[in-house]
Amino acid sequence: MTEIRAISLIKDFSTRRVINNISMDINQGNFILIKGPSGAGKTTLAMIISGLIKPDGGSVHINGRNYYNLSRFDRYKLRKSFSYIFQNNIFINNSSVIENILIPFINKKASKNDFKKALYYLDLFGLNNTANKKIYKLSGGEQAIIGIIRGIITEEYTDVIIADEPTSQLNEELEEKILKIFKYLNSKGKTILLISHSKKAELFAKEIYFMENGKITNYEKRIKE
Amino acid sequence: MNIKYILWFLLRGIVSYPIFYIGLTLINIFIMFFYDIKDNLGNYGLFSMIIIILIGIIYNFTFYTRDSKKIGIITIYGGDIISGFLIPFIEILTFMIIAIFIILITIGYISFTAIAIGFGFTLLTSIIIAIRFIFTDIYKIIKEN
Ligand SMILES: Nc1ncnc2c1ncn2[C@@H]1O[C@H](COP(=O)(O)OP(=O)(O)OP(=O)(O)O)[C@@H](O)[C@H]1O
Ligand SMILES: [Mg+2]
Repeated sequence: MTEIRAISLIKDFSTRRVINNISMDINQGNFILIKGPSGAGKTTLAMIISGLIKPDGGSVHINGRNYYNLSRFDRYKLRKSFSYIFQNNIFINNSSVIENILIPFINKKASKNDFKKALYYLDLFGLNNTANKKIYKLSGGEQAIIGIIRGIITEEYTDVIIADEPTSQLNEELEEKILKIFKYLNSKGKTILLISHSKKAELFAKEIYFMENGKITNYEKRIKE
Repeated sequence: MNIKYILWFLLRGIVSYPIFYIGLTLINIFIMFFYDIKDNLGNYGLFSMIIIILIGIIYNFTFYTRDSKKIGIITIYGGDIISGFLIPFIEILTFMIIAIFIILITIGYISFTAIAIGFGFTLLTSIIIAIRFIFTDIYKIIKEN
């Protein structure tokens, strides 16, 4: 179980305040959608909350522990509960698709099903013939799907999935497919933190935050927990 | 930590960067072989040893810096400081063992001290690489590579 409490977060990049006094509670099993215009600070906020960017002010408490005050060793330990789908396709470029998908398993217990699982997901998106291709040979949209598969393939070991505009490069049909996967994972108790501009995503979220200029300007609770 | 995957990735890596791993094997061979023959080289023996070890450290450090995105990604997806050390260590150790076999096959002799020196080199380079990871921001590494 991973419970996150962010208190009065502040982040400046040079002289610009990118995150301006944001507080947020994320309980296990929530499905949060963050919306807002480009440059609002959505990615920065998600990365602070999930332990990848240290804020300049405020604090992030994970299971009651002040995350950014912990030792590096403890921070790494807590971060094992998180999985990420990054906005920019971040891969080992010279490696194959299957290597890029399986890389999170380096830090998990080995199981005979890992490969099967990877192939299952590739098949689900009609990409099974790409498994041994170099990742850079795939189109942007295909790479986005690989990034999504990498983010969800270790779900049984993780509590929180951060998905930063995972479907922005995909068509509606694929988008729906992916949102349904998130919904399924959420129904299994995973916390989903989704950043998306899409209208459809609103139907899946339990809570929606609207961001502008580093602030939460609106909040909506969709489904009673 | 999952040794099976580290080795699987290593095998895949050899296919992607064969030249690097050939270089790494050669450096390991030189370090251990030179140690055994250093007395025959008189005053230059120790000096050439140090030079070869320095080249080896720079060689590995450059490669793993170039390859830092890989270790960065591994770390972000559930890794820790130990993976930042163990992954290079297991890789370099593998090629040290291969180097030992090559020396045994071609020259037929290797001293225990030479192996200890080869191991020390492996340990030292891995620690240097790990320190680099400990003191850099992992998210920055993967974003900027
Ligand atoms: N590493 C950085 N250095 C300097 N400025 C940064 C950095 N990262 C983000 N910024 C700035 O912070 C602001 C918020 O960026 P962020 O990526 O969080 O926005 P976003 O809401 O995710 O936007 P988008 O919808 O385009 O992804 C932007 O003005 C951006 O230029
Ligand atoms: Mg963004």
